[in-house]
Amino acid sequence: MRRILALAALLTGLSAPLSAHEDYRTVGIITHRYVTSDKQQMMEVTDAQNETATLWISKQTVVKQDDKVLTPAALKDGVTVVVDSYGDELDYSEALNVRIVPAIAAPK
Amino acid sequence: MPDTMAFSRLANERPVLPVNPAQDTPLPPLPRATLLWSSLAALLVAFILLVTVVLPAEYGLDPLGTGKRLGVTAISNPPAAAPIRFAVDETGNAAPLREGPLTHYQGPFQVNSAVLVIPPYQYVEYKYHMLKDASLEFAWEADGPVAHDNHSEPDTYPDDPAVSFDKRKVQKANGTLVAPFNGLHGWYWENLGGAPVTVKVSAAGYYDYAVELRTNHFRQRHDIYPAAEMAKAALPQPAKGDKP
Repeated sequence: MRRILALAALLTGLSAPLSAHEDYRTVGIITHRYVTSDKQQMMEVTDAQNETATLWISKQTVVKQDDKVLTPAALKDGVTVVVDSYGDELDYSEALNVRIVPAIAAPK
Repeated sequence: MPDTMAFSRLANERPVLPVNPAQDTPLPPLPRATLLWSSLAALLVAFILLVTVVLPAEYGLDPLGTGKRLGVTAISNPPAAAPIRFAVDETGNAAPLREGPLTHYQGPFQVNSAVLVIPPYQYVEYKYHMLKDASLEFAWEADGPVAHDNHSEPDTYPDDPAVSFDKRKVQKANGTLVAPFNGLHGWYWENLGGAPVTVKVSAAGYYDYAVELRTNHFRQRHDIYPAAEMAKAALPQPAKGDKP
């Protein structure tokens, strides 16, 4: 029993760094909105550097525009968003706060 | 005739000045022996003062011990100033030492400035690593709307929390910051608009390095140059052939 407990403690210790969660911010345009086979709502956001991040819209996700709370249905393709997410890495991190903002002017 | 009478009356009313008989009578010459003895006495007094006071006070020469007794030898041999003893912590850092209104620092006086461009809706942090009680004179200005947070993050973060000092919605600020603990001290700026914002920050004081943190954990350490080196670089260099 002691050996099993020690092994469990060791595995827990080793797995801790793997689950080091971080905050992320993504600013860009929603380029793809879809639902996975297990009914998870997802969105792909492409930023000014043309890099795309896939973000998970969960029940925790709060969507706002000009301080008004909206439903996730407002997150449509072509909308410019500022997303604060949380996860192991940026891709597939959980979107916690999504702000819909005016379109960003292209740099001159 | 009346004019002449008036003149004579004025002449008669002139005040009579007192006469000093000593000025009118020349002094008799001193006898040669008296003059000689007076000079010798003056020389003797001067020599005694030289040996007993002047030499001990000015040059530390005290053959009779009178300088020590009179307490004047300290003038030529002031006690050496005790060196400043900085307390060194477990990481080897020498903490600033407060003495009344003065604070002594072991490290050099540093100056640094940075121009930070913040893309739309992104944020940047710019902080200086300082020891407890070290001070920083700063000024920053943004050319667009920003949310800002002047805060400190201890070396032991996240075990110990960060502390915020100022979160007012301003586009510029200047002042002095005294580090409440060893750690990173500086600002967070978030661009609130859809156009890039430029923040110019300058800071002078006692710190080890500056660090820039951006959205999604981008981290960059900035080189810092001591103020003395910068002043040296700013001096005009002599042209070839110029005599020093």
